[in-house]
Amino acid sequence: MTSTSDQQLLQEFRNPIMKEAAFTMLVKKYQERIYWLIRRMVVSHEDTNDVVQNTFIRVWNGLEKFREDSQLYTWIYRIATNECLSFLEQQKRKSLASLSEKNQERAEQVKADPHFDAQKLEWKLELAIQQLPERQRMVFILRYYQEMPYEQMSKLLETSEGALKASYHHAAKKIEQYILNH
Amino acid sequence: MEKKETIQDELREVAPSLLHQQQSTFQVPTGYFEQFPHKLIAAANKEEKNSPTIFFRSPRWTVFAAAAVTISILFFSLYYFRNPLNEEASAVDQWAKQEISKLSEEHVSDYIDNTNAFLQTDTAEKIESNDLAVLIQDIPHAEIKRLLNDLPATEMP
Repeated sequence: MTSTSDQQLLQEFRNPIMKEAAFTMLVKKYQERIYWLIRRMVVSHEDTNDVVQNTFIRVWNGLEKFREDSQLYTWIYRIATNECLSFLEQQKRKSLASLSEKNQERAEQVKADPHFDAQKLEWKLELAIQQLPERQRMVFILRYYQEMPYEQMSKLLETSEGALKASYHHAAKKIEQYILNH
Repeated sequence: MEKKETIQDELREVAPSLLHQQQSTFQVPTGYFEQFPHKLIAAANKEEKNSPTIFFRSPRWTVFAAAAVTISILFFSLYYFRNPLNEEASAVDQWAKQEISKLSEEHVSDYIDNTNAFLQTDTAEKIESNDLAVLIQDIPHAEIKRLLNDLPATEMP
């Protein structure tokens, strides 16, 4: 069902008269999922907004030449994950902070949220996620919050399903341990 | 999306305390998702208008041509650095020095004297005159006359 409507959107986008309307529909369809994936990765709303905007601008620029070798959904997610990981990489290069320092910085950003409540399990969970390495964090968010099948995740991150499953299980255990200790 | 039960079953096995905790925590500014598509379209159109360079960009073949020229220059530079042009000349020079060193001073002196004597003979003068006649045959007489007038009297033949 999703692929059929993506197909329609793609056809409409290639029609100059319907291009903007089709793109607006496409953004409305994917924006929240992409936003929450990136928001949990980078924490700040402003940074998330920049990364999401860059993602969709790249979609806009590349959609006409999209060859449909993969599903549109997978292609958009791949752009989003690449943009997100590049953004985090740039941040690391700018600050020269170590991985644990950077994770700590993001945990502080979580605590600075006006709605933060250290007693609530969901906030402990957000803090625990920030302790994970970037790619493992990405795998955990895609599976736990976005309920993405391993098969799809494998196409997206170009990693075997077995490796992704192991990474997710390891991440879940680490997070559980963090929550039990805090 | 995968069935929720599958994901929950997996969690139950791996990390049961994480079951059913997927509530949202972070807040998004009011109206953000309603406005985002319109702001994005405006940004995309603006970016398209600000990048007309796409029509003026060099075609791909010019990039390959530039790369080929650069590689050729590097290759030849490296070749001549390893095999300099004057290597052959310096080898000849070396050989000549060796051969001359084998000759006695007397032989060398005789050779120089004989060469000077030859240049002063009539034969040498004739050859020179013949060559000169061939060289100047296409020069108009007026030009030759002007040249002779311009020469100082001491250099007159």
